[in-house]
Amino acid sequence: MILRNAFRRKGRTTMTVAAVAISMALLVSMLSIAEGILYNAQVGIEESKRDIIVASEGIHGITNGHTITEELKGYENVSSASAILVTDGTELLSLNFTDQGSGEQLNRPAVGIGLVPDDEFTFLGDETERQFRDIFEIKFNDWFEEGGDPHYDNDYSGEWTYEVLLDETFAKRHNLTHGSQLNINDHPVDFQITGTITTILSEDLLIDFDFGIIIMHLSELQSLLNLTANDVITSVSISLDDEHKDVNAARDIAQNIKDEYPFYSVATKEDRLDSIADELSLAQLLYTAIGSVSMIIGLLFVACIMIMSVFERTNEFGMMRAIGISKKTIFKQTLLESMVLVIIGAGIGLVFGYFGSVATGDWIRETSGLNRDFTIFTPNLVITSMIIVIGFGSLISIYPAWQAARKKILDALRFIR
Amino acid sequence: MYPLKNLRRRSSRTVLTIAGVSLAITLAIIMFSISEGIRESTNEIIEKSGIDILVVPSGGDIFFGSGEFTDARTIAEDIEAENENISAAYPILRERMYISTGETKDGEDRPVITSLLAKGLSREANEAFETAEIIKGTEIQTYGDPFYANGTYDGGTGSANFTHELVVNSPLARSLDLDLGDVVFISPQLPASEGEFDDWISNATWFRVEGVRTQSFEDEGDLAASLHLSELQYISGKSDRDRADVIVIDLHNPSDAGEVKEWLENDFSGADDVSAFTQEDIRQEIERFTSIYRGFSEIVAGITLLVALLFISTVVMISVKERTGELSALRAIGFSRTSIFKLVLVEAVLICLIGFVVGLIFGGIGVEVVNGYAESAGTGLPEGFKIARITPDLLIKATASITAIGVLVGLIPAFWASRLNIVEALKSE
Repeated sequence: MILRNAFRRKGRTTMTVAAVAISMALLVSMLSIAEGILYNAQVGIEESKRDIIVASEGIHGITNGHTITEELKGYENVSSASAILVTDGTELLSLNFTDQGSGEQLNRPAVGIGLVPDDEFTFLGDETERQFRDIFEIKFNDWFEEGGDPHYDNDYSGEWTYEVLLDETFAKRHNLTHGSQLNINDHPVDFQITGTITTILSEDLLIDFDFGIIIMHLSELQSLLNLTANDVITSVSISLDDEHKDVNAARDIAQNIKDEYPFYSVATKEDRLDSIADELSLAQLLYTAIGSVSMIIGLLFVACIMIMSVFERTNEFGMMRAIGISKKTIFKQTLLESMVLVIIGAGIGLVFGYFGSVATGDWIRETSGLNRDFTIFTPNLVITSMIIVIGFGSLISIYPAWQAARKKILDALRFIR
Repeated sequence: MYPLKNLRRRSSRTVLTIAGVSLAITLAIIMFSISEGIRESTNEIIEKSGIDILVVPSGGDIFFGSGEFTDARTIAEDIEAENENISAAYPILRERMYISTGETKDGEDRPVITSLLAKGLSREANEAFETAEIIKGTEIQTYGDPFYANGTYDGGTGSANFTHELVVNSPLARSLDLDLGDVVFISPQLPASEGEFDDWISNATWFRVEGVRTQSFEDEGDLAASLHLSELQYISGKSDRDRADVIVIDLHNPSDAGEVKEWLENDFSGADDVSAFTQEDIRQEIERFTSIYRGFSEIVAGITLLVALLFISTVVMISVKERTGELSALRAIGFSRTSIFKLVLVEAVLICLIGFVVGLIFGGIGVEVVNGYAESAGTGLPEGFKIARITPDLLIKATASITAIGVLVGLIPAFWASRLNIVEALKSE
């Protein structure tokens, strides 16, 4: 009977269900962006082998980088450590090269990342899946021939390897291949491209800025940036042995490191996850709020239609009361009628919402030029959206149901529209 | 007025319909006001700064970074000398450093050292451009950046020409509890351990706080300070080749910016080494960023308004069908089809306009809440930057859209009502 009543006026019911479905689709799409933001940020950290990261607040505040890394390797329960140096925006590398396609001599800036290959390799996963995601999202298509950092020897007078890995997008754009020569920061000798990396930067980046990403040996980058006097680095990543990877053990070891180096920031995975969650909570709230507002409009529609329907059926409710049906039953029935419309609309909306979330992700990817998943459709999302809809839907349906239940029998039977 | 009376007659449905429309309008206004706010605020700040052209090393970008100029002063002097449209050109260096008062505050175990974005420039450059306002004290006082001494940086930090003048931004002053005359220590690195702190202090360079200024857009939301260019070059190890990140240019006539940019990138003697950006270039870059967000807002607002449209059209249609007898009676006493058409249409437009006004009020409140939150959450926005703004353009577009929607949703029911067969309608009643 509830279904029959709900579908008595097919036209208005269709419009109501359509409105709820569209609102639900928008809610699901927004929630999928909110989930996507958090997932992208978290999964890299969760899957990472970097149990603890020691860093300075700025970009190169840590001195004696090589020495500190060796010291940290020797710590109890530490299985490996790796130092990284990254350029910052005020000091990008300057690349000078010949575009192999046009033959033009070009000068372009590049982000530089310096590391010790053998040290960093332990953090990258196996041979076939070499990537790190928790600092940048980079997949290594090739690796260095020389695993150590020979130029560091004898106070930076050791041999240069001149090996660099270059991001694929930049290499493709300028027709650079394995073996191509690159001059970096007017160094007397050119570097050679010995491999490529894949990043999330596609060829159609939204920003009109042609820049490369270069990975090279740590000491060589330090020399190019005149940071050898104090062996400056950006951070040291630490991996703990298997027995000490749990939260409490990691925290204790992190505290010991913090006591030794009180001016550096020392963050466990837990700390990094909390920090990311805090930073992103506002963005998530924003998308959830946008979706919820849209959903409320759809539900107001349902409430309005139900109020009209209750008004039209005043005689009917009078008759039902006259034959002995209780107010409670009428309340429940009307409430359920309303919820039927909401749930059917929500169900249809969920399906459209899935396609909407895929389309939204594609749109953001194409517009920004970044190759990553911006939206994610999870069971958690389905549950959250259904809770929001059923929760608000029930609240909003109470008023028309109460209206139906409180009609006085005689007034209702006497009612003429 | 008849349409208004009808709306009052069925108050619950009217209230709910208006609530639906106003929610949709509130959401649309808040979302669009954010992209308008970012764009308008950025344009204002750029115009107010007085910087006509920014020059970075070739291939660089003013937002995302660049390499460094070497012999920056020479390049700046050449730029000024070779083009008579240019009033002045000044090099600026920005470096990440570390700053401490050297003292341990109550409740702390050790002295605090915090990261700092240091900006090195001359007093002349400071005066030519207005990127921040002095709240307390003064700007850096000494003209001519005397410590540079023709590239010798003679005497190091002990030189009589080394002024030790520093102007901090207000977040930095708050963070380290700084006041005028306070001495602070600045170094390019951090000490490794507590035991090295005293060495760090002796190797760091002391500066005296001459002034506190507002946050500028160049601070990038960071704790920041300004000092003489040569002094920053020296303490950060960039004095070997007179390094700087950017050269800012002031023109006699700002409308020559396009022409001067062309000259810089093609005819200037150092054209191969520079990339130039005018205020218009910066606006376009901001426009590109906000375009994603604006596109997103249009989609969301469009969908929300579509739901509201379905809502209003269904309610108006039902409402008209309920009043078949009444409308027929009006026709019977002489109301023309056109009058009936207009009555129903006006009702639909009224719902939309009332919803619009309510939505606008809540939208305005929402915008104030967003701005208030952005300021208080310490997001590092420069002074005067409003992240959300309701501009006249936004208001005009919103009014036009909602009126169009009102007319659209009212057309079919109005047409249907005006076509009623009086006899049939009265018979069925």
